[in-house]
Amino acid sequence: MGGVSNVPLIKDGKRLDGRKPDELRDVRIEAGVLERADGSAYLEWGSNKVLAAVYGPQEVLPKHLSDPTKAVLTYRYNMAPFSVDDRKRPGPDRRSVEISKISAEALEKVVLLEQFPNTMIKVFVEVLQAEAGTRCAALTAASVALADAGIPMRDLVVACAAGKINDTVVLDLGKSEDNFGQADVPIAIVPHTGEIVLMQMDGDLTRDEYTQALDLAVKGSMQVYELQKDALKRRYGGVVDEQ
Amino acid sequence: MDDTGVRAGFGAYKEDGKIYSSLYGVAEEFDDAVRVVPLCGKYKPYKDDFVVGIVEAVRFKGCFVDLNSPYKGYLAFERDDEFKVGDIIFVKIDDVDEANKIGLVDGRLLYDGKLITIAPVKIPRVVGKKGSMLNILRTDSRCMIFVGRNGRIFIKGRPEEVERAENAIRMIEREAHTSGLTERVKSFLSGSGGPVRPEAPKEEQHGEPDTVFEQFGEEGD
Repeated sequence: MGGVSNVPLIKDGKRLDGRKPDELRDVRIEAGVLERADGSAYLEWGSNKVLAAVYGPQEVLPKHLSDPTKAVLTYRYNMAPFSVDDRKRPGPDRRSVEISKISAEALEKVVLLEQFPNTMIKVFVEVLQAEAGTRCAALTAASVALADAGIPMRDLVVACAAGKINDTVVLDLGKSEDNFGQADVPIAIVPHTGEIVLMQMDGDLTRDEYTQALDLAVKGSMQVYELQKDALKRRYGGVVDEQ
Repeated sequence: MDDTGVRAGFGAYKEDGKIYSSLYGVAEEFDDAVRVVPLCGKYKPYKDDFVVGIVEAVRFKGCFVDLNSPYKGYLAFERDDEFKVGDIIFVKIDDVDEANKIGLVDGRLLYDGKLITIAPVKIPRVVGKKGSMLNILRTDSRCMIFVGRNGRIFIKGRPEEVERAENAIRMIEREAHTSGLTERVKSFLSGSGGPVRPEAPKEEQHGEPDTVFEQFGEEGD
């Protein structure tokens, strides 16, 4: 990341995996995959595989964290030791603590926490297989799991990344593009208001490139949003309203 | 109520003159309001609900009751040592304050029966319009059935009848979002009462897929 790399990542307008610059990897979402959790979702994004589980609202533990005005939302992003090429040392590290914190803050913006004072909503996301863009995949899966748990929200949260490789702004970086590219901008949005609830940037972009990347990431997010809604609809099949 | 003339009911909220759903469920439109019937979620206590609780801890003049909800209830005893830890009671919610502290009243001990738990959002289907479904369950299964709004149901009767009632309730839970359910429950209870078919006949799926509520989609403007 950063600097100019001499690794060719784009040939004849196509990327290494054959995608166009503004093309997403394949995304597949399934809601309600875990029996014991209150809500859950499984998501595949390219070769990323993540599993999200939601518990709650429930009693706050440890008790001193409880807030009499709203619910407490906790988020745990964790990478499985076998999710990457070289075995990852298990347990929280600097990176996953950071991702957990910003993702929790993104979800706090949409969950109607004030409806459940003195309770706790726990979100757990396990990355089973990683291939760049796991924080976006994790957050996208987590918001589907929250909806599946029946927790009131203003909207779903969708995340998607854009970046720069070989001086071209592209959508949704793959692994080699992330490693040898020039910039990576993951964002998360609230689709119906367009609010940005998470944004980070690794590498460097000019102001124009930045605007371009942002537009691209928002467009990508909207595509994923449709898939999220679709996954939730499929969960209960053809629902018929009788009353 | 503003220029739209439509009110955001349960599970819905309003922003910039548009109504959005805050829950994952099926939308219902009325003349002046829109509400969302959730497909899942925990029980949230409301005043005057009847619930089935389990006594969790006994204090000097009352007890704390687990209500299958994020919040515990407190029931003041009418006489000393009315209930003990582990008792299953049928109880009414007297009061819910803004911090969701729940006061309970009219505790009644339930014994010699089976306690089952289903998703709280499916309870209205088990009860039916003005208790229609519950009446069918009660008369056709010959069981005493106590239905708590919190998803707990206590069934009392002869073992095979209790099992049949439970199977019928499980069927209602599984097929709560489809129509023609009352008829199926009736035929199930009057029939052999064997194991419930995992898949019910699909003829009732006459609605267009459009009736599936688009979560968080616009519901009016």
